[in-house]
Amino acid sequence: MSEMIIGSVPLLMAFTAAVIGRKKQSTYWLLLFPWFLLYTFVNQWIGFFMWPLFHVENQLLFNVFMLIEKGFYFYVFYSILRKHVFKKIAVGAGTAFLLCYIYDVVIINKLFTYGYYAANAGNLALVICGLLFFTEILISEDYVDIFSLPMFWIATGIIVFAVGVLFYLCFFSYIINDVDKDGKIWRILATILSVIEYSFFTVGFTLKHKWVHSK
Amino acid sequence: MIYAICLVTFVLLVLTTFMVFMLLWQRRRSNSFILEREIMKALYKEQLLKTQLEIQEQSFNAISMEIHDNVGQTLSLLKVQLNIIDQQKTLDKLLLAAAKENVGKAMTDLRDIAKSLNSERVQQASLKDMVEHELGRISKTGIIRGLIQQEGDEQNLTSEKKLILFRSIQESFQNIIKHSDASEVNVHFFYQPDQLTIVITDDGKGFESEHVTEKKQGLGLTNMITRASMVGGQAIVSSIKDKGTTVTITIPYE
Repeated sequence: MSEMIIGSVPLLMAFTAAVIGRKKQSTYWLLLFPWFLLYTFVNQWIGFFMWPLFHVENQLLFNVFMLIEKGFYFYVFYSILRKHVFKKIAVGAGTAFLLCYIYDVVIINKLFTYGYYAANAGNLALVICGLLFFTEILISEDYVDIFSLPMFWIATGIIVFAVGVLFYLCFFSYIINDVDKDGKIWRILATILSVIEYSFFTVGFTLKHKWVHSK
Repeated sequence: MIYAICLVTFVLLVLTTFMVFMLLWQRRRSNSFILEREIMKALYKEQLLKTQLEIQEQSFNAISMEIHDNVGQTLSLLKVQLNIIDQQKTLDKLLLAAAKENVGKAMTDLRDIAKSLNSERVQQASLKDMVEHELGRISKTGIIRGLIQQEGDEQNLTSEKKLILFRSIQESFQNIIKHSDASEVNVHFFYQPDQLTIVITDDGKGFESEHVTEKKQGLGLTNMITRASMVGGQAIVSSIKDKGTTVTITIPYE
């Protein structure tokens, strides 16, 4: 419970910052951010109470959440990337995730068991998209004040979370069955990474810098 | 095993942090390079504008002199001729013809001045033509005789390069008029495959160029060297006492 509360505070802060900063968000996909964060918040709490209150497994809920979360992030990266070739790579990475998702979650696990392989594939693909965004910043011919770029904070938050859970998810079945049976390590890890991710989001949304159109 | 998971995750996060820091560091370097480039561009534009203003000022001075010395004199003479015709009882056809000739001369001079004021013409004219015109103006004084030569096929230069080069050559002419006591100045254009070399030689009193430090070079020579380097070229001034001075300006076409 305490981990949930700790993890929810920065999430709510990011949500508040995204709502307040809506006027600055001139692109369509950025207007979706508050809704996405609200959905994340509601999803986390419903998932948390599903078993204790209704004795229902929450794995389907998180499988759906995985698809929406990763899909939304891919869409954000696709919209912010400017180079055509980078956009193509982002689409490739997104498609690879989708194929993994269909195979792992739909075909193998029949939707009711959490698809950690798909989650890992999604995280890897998001790391690739984040690196593409960083590369674009790096090779830009114009003067770029990185700290004033909201997308820098958002991309860094996404990458940190994705990299942080990468190793755990790689050995998920082994860890969850032998080492971390009660899932305590996972909860701590996810909480720490969520705090970092959503804090970065909050910084991004509170920046005075006007959002740049993706195109 | 728990420690291994924590350790590997920690290492991965450290690597991510390191990568972000590398990005920030590299971007900072690029930013400072971009700023430097912007400053250079601004300086170049400023220098170009300054050059244009100087050329304009120089042209105004030349035009003022031209009006005073040529058109003014012709019209004064015409006035005298008309006064004489007015006082004569019979019309002196010869005097009238001379007056007509003077009106024609004044008109031609004014047309030349108007042409030289046309900025489009200046932009379209070749560097050699512009220098020839300037040299002709100097030669008119009768103090210095100018000669222009060309080797190789003329190549196109950007208007910025042309202006800066022309201003440098003008600067060189002014130095010759003011300090050299020369009676002859030669301008030689060498159009090479990838660069243009302009050699300006005078037969003046010269100076010991080895002893002339940058401070003593005066604004004229320094400006000339700076301007040449601005368009990717170089200017070298060499002189021997009592044997004249040679200014060599080399500019790449690209």
